[in-house]
Amino acid sequence: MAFQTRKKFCYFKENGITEIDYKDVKLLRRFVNDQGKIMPRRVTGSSAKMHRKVVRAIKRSRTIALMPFVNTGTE
Amino acid sequence: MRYYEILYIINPNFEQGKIDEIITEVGGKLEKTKSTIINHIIWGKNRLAYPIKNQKYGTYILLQFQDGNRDKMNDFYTWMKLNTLVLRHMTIRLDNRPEVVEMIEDPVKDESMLEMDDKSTESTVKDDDIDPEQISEAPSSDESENEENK
Repeated sequence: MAFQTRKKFCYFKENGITEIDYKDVKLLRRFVNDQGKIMPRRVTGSSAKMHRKVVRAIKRSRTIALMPFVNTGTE
Repeated sequence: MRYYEILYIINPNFEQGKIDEIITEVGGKLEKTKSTIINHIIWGKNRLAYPIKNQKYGTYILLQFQDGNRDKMNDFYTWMKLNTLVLRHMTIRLDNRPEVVEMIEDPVKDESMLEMDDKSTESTVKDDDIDPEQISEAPSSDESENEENK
């Protein structure tokens, strides 16, 4: 069975996004998994520069309770 | 000149009058540091990602300002921290001067979209579950082919 190769691309480069706002939870939700963990760059395919910005934004929105630190799924 | 943004959460059970009272109180305290307020608006009521002081919901208020006397800012932050009306606050330094806005989209609207995203991720997980079966079937077919070759 042959492995399917899927071309990775930087989401921000495709959409022309240069700045990430921590209040934009809808966008940031793409870069965390079901548990609320930040997904690695090798999975999301985003560039190193943008990944640093994503990480900073997610951590900020966690501080102000817009995003969870851990998502246990009990709620 | 630097620009800052404070996002703070207050109790969701407060009425509109009480919210306005808090906004003027926070604004008044900030103006004592000679800062000029650019935006000070209610962002809306939103479900918190985790409970803060046993509150599951919170009213978010956004405050953007240009700094004045930076030495006096510490007093303002201490006051914000000790203020029991404010559940939590966070200050961010902005790169550029923020635009004057009268309304921002309610964060609750995003929440409904998030539920849609969650459903789509669930469906992809189900697809992954099917894959191992196909993998287990695939080697058996290979073996049968090998037997034929012999």
